[in-house]
Amino acid sequence: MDDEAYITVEGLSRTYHRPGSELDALVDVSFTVPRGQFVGIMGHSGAGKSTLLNIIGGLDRPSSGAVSVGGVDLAALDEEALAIYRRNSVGFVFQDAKLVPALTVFENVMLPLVPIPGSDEEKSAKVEAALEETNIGHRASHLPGELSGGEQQRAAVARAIVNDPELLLADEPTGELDRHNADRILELLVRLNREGRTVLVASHDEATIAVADRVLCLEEGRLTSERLVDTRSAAPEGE
Amino acid sequence: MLLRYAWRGFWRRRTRSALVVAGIALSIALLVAVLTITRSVEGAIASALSATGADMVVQKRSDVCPFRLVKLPRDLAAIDASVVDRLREHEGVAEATGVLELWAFAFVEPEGGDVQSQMNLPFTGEARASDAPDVSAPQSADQPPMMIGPDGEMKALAPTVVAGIDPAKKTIGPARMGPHEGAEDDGKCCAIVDGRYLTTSDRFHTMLAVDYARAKGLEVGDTIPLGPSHEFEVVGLVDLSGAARIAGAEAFIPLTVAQEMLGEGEVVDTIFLSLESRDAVEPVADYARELIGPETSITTETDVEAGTAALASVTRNTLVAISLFVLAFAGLLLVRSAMDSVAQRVDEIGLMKAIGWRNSDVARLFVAEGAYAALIGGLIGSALGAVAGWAYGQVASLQLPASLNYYPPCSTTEAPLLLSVSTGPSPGLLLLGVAIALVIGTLAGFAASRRAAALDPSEALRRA
Repeated sequence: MDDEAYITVEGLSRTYHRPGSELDALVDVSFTVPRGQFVGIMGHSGAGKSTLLNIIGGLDRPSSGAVSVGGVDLAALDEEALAIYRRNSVGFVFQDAKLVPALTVFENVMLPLVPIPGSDEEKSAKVEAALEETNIGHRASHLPGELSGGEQQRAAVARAIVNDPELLLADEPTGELDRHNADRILELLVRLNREGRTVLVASHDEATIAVADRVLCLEEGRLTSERLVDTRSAAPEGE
Repeated sequence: MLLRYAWRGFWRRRTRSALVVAGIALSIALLVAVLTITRSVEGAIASALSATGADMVVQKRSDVCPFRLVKLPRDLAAIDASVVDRLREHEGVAEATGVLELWAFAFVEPEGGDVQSQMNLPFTGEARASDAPDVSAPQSADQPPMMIGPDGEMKALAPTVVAGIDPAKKTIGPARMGPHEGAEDDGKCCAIVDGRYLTTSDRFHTMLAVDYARAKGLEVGDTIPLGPSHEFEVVGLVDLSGAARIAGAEAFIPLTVAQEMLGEGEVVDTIFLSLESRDAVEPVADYARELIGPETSITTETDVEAGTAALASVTRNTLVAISLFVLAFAGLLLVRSAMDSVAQRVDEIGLMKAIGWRNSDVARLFVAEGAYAALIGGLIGSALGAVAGWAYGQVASLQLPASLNYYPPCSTTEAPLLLSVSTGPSPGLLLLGVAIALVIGTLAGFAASRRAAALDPSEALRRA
């Protein structure tokens, strides 16, 4: 693990303006993440975990404060540049997989590559490699509706890594899975982290966060505590 | 690859896609059908003039002239032949020819025995033909008029519609020869089905319309009486059945002989003019009126169209307006449908943005999906429209106004009034249909893409 900061979050606040009210999703949050670290973001529902991941992933912009990833100040990027940043540097895994029901698993995993220039063969090879890595290749020609929850989430991880991003952001990746399937997804995320990717997992589930190198706790938008975990002592079975 | 992805998305959402395609196809079918039909009808109407090689027909109207065995048809009046030369020399006139259309009555043996009972003319004995009433309003629609012939016997009179034409003018007039390689050399052409065209040295020679010859049992080499005192040798049979034509006739004879038969000097009653451009219509018409007088009757394509029963109650413009209205309505539905599609695919759009699709990529996807629907709908609609147009052509029976031809009610053959409506598919119209569909579909896709591109990705993912 490289101790130099890969992600720097400084004085980050995000306020949602609603008619007649304001909601402080994040308040003055600061931390750094070295390259290759597995970070768990712990907190109850509404604590600001998703907002934090969205801002680090370039899906949302802070109300104040600064975020830089890999030395790039995200505030300086326009919409187009942010899209390119998400395409090249970030892989998202969502709670509900978010596979497009009309497309096969193969096509879903291909999705991030669609607007990118390149030959079909080259892109297909990347998709096959991602499917292989997530052990879902045998379901490539199936529609999402024909897959189990665990398989859908593995397909979603395959989609997240098909562009070989440095940063993986997973928002409640095991939230809709049983323990067995949750453990398999966590195994996968740990393996991807060990291959050198920086992984941030947001969850309210202690068991999910247990595999992280470090845990950040959020409460009502504020970073309340931070702890280092002893070399993934709580890694899921099979690790 | 984006196009392929768009296609898969389009194909997998079959129900929505089918509805969108059906909407486009139906509106395009309506438009193409209307345009095909109006184009065909206009073409058929134009062919009535173009069959004569003319852009304008000039005549002079007068009171119905008294009955004679050789007379001008109905209310046509004689025009001095010099008018033809003066019109030909006028600016904007490419070619001109004068035709003398006549009704020539010949004596025939009456069918049935009792001659007196068949008399339907109010005179007996030494009646002169000029005393008889006009036969254009016959006493009986299905019986020829009768009068005492040269031998003192009561005989029936059979009219033949005769056109005196200038044999040197083969490319303009009611017996116009179409473009034909070598036509000037061998005197044969596509309209001559047997024999030859008239020559400038012919006198009592005639070309007969082939259906008239068939009705009379005549062939090339036979003779036929045209008028009370002349036998004409049949030198050619002309097929004029291809299209309705103005001032068509059953028999064509040299103009000079027709003038002799009428006995009014060098006159014509119908002048065919081909013009160098449409701009020449008004000045040439004004000049013709100046030469001929207030009784001048000018017929152009516009007049033919106005007088034709086709599309009488619903004009082309009305039909096209209705089609465009339907098209606009379909376009709005498509836009609405595309917007709904965006609303239903918010999560998908959010996901695309999350995984690195730029706004322009998302926009292109929706435009491509709209274009696919439009292309398929346009192709189907154009094909349906062409079939509908063709079907109309099979059942349509359009005729020129009877006032544009001069056949007596008791003529041997029917006046060539039936318009030939050819409703074959026009590649231009088919392409137009597809192009319009593409424009509409792409615009709908573009509207949807704007909305999709404007979605905030985190908001879209949260809403999903």
